[in-house]
Amino acid sequence: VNSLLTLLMQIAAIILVARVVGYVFKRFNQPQVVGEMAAGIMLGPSLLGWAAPDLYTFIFPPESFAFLTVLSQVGMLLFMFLVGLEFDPKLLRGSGHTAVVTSHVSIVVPFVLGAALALLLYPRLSDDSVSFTGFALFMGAAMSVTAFPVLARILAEQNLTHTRLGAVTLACAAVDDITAWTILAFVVSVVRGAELARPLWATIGATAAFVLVMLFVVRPALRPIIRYYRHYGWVTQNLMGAMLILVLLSALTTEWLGIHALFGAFALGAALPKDPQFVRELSGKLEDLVVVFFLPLYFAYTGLRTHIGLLAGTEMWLYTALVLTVAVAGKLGGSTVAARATGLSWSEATALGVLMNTRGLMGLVILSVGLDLGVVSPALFTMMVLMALVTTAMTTPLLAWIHQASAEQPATRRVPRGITAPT
Amino acid sequence: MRSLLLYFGLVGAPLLLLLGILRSGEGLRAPRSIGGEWQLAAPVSGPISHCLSGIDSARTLVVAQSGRWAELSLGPRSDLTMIAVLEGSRLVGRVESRPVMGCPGGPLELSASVNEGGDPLELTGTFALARCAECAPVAIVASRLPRTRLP
Repeated sequence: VNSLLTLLMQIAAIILVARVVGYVFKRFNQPQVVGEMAAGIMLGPSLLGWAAPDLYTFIFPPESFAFLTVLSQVGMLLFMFLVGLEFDPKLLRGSGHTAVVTSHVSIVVPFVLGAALALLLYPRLSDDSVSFTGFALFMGAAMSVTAFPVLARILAEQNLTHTRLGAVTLACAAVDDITAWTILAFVVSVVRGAELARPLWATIGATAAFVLVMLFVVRPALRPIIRYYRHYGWVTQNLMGAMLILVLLSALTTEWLGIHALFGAFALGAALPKDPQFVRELSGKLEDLVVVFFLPLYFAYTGLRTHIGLLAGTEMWLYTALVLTVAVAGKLGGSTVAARATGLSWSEATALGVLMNTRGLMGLVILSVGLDLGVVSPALFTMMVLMALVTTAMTTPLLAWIHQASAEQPATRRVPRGITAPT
Repeated sequence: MRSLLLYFGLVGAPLLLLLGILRSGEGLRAPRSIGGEWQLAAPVSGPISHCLSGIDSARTLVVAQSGRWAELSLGPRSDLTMIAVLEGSRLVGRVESRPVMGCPGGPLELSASVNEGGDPLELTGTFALARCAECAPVAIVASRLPRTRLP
C-alpha cells in the first residue's frame, strides 16, 4: 500500500478512536484527555496488536512509523508552544509563601524519590550504555512533572479556578512546568553529553545563554507584535506565519544546542508578550488543530511504543506498582504535606496534592524524550506510561471524594488577599 | 524564621539526600547493553526452520532491551518474537510455537551467548524445539549493527 494511503488511514483511525474513547471516558467524569491517552495505548501492540495482529500490522506497518513519528513530533512542538503561550508569569506574583514552598517541595520530593527508586531499578531495568546519573536524574524529572494544561482544564470543569485552592494550584503548577522543562533540558544535555562533540559545560552554558537571550532580547523584541496585532485588530495570516517561523527557529536552536526542540517551542511561547486578547486569539486559532488532530497522533505514537506484553511476570508488575506508589507518594504526599505545613486545611492540602499528582501529557512527553535518548528502556517506558495514565485518571474521582468527605467544603472559599486569582 | 526552617526541611534536606543518592549509585552495575539491531550472519535455516513461519528468510534480529529482559524479534518477514533473559553473557528465551504440518510445535527455546568485550558484539547460539528430540537445533550467529538513536 502506498505510504500516503497508509498515513491517511492511520490518521483517520487514530482520530476516530481518540474521539470515541475520549467521549466514553467523559461520560464517566474523566477528562477527555485521559480517554485519548488510553485510546493511544489501545491502538498499539498492547491491545490491537495483541487482539488482532493482522489488522494492527495492516494499519500500522513498521515501515510507516517514521511518517507518524515526524507528524506527531511537529504537532507536539505546536502543543508545547501553546503551553508556553498560556503560561502567565502573573500567576507567580504575589502568590505567597504557600505556593512557593509547595511548588518547590512538589518538585524536589518526587525528584528525590524518583532518584532513590533508580537505585533499585538501574541494575534491573537499564543497561551499561546508560550512566546511573543520567538514569537517576531522568527518573526524578519524570516523577516530578505536572500536567499544567490538564490541571487547568480539570480546575475549570470543577469550578475551582477562582478559589484559593485553584489559585495556589495553578501557581504551583506554573512553577512546576517551567522548572520541569529546565530540569529536562539539563538532564538531556547531561545524557547527550557523550554523543555531542562539545563538552557538557558548553551545552549547559549555551542553554543558560539561550534562556537569558529569550528573556532579555527576544521578549522585548517581540513587543511590536502586539502593536501590529492591535493595528489590524486580529491575527492576520502574515502574523500567524511569522509566529510559526519563530517557533520553528526557536525549536531548531535548542535542538542544535543539544537540549530538545520541545524546550525551544515552549520557551518561545512563554516569552511572547501576554496581551490577553492576542493570546486568546492565537491559541484559539491553533488549539483545535493541535488538540483534535495532532494530540491524538502523539498519543498513538506513544501507544505504539507502549507494550504491556513486556511486563511479563510478577516481578515486572511489582516494579510497576512500585513506580506508581513512589510517584503518588512523592507528588501527592509531598505537595499535601507542604501545603498543610504552610497553612492550608487538610482537605485543601490533599486536594492540592491530588491535582499536582496529575502527570497527563507532560509525563508522556518527558518519557518519550527518555525513550528516544535510550535512557528509559522499553519496559520501564511502559511502566511509566501506565503511571502517567493512572495518576491522571485518579484526579477527578479523588477530588470528588475529598469534596464529599470534607464537611466544611473549604474549596469553595473565595480567594483571600495575597493570592493572585487567575482570570 | 519558621518559613525558612520549613523551606530548608522540605526542600534543602531532600536536595542533600539527592547528592547522597547520586554518589551511592555510582558503584552500581547494570546489565551489558545488547539492545539494537543485529545482522544475522546467514539466514537461519536447519531441519526445523520450516516449522517457524518465515524464520529462514530472516535477515535481522531486533533486540529491545530492558535491563535483564529483552524482546527479540526476527525480521523482516518472520513474526517470531520472544522474551529472553540476560544472565551475564548468556541469553535464554522461550516462546510457544504452534504445531504445523510435520512439526510438533511446543516451546521454542533460544540459548545463546554474547562475546565478551567484542566490537561489534556477536551473538552465537541455537533455536531448539524442546519437545522434539529428533529435531536438530538451528544455529544462529549475529553481529550488532552500530546503534542509532532518534534525535
